[in-house]
Amino acid sequence: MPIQNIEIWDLPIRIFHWSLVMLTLSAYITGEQGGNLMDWHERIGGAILFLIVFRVIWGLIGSPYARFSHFFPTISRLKKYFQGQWAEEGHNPLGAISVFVLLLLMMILVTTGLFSNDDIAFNGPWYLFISKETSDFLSGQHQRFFDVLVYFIFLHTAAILFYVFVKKKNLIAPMVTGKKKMQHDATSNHQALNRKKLLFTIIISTVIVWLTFSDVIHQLNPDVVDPPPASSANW
Amino acid sequence: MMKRSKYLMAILFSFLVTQTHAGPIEDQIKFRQSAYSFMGWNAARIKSQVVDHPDTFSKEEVLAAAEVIAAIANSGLGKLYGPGTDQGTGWKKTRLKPEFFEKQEEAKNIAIKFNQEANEFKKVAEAGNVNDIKLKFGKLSESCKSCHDSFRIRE
Repeated sequence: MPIQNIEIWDLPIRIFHWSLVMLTLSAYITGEQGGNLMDWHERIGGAILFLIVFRVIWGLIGSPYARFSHFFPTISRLKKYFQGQWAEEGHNPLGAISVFVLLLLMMILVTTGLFSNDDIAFNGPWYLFISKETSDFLSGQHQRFFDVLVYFIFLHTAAILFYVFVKKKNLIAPMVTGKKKMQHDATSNHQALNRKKLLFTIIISTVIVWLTFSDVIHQLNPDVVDPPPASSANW
Repeated sequence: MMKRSKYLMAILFSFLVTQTHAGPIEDQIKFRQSAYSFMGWNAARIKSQVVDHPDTFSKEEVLAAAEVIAAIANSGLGKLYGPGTDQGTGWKKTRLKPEFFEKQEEAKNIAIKFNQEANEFKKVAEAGNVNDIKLKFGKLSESCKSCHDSFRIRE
């Protein structure tokens, strides 16, 4: 089989990855700064929600290497990997665990953020659905899980650097160009980007983000739609 | 006569003590929780009228809220942070970190900053320019956050 430069990471995956990097960094900066940047922190959270929903759907219907089923870290795959017999392209089983952990952490951060408050002037869009005590608890978890995320980001980066410098395998370039030199056979996983599926994924993700932040979701809680009127007393 | 003056001294002394510290630990915690909670209502009013729904902006109401925040900031809240008040329950369990008592210099600087921001905020509220108010409100809430970050236990 000839060795060819094959697209392993499709464009949606690459855009997902690098925008998630930048948005996570911006979320960190705005969250640390607080003040008026909290509004931006919330918007960035919305953008991250979009990316996460996108990635989950793309993991089900996207291009072959993007699919969860392609790299889900099953016991047998992990066994093979630790016995040094792993030779397939795409995420290796250990890397796959990292993918799922990072996705899960982002989900936790987005969800807790929706319900959070900062006891100053910020309430997440779903703050009114729960009690103040629960919101306080979730706000604390939002901060704690961010620390966990930082730990995993370091681990992820360290693993990539280990590959680059010790195993002499550059994993960064393919995440930028999408291309990777590999043996190519006609029956392999490569196919052109399915635009219809991509459009479908983008639409569903957009709708979910829109619903999350829109008033529609608040219809579930009558108190939010028609709050008990404040007194109009002018004293 | 001697005895009487001793009593008077004692009464006077206890009065002085209650003047410096608001009372038993639970009271101090309660008072400060009340202060922050009431400031919270006023901060929410300001945010709603200045940031979220600028079309509802009312100078009088924002100024009223700004005056409350400045008044509470200037009221000498530090007196409610007596020794031992990192443990105890007011309206609810306090979240004050014990480090507060070891880093008095930092705590003081944060408090001074908060006072300045609250007073400056009142000034821009008096002037009534929505954009300036919004900008200063951000600064004010950053000063709240700096104390939360340093001296408040995470839930």
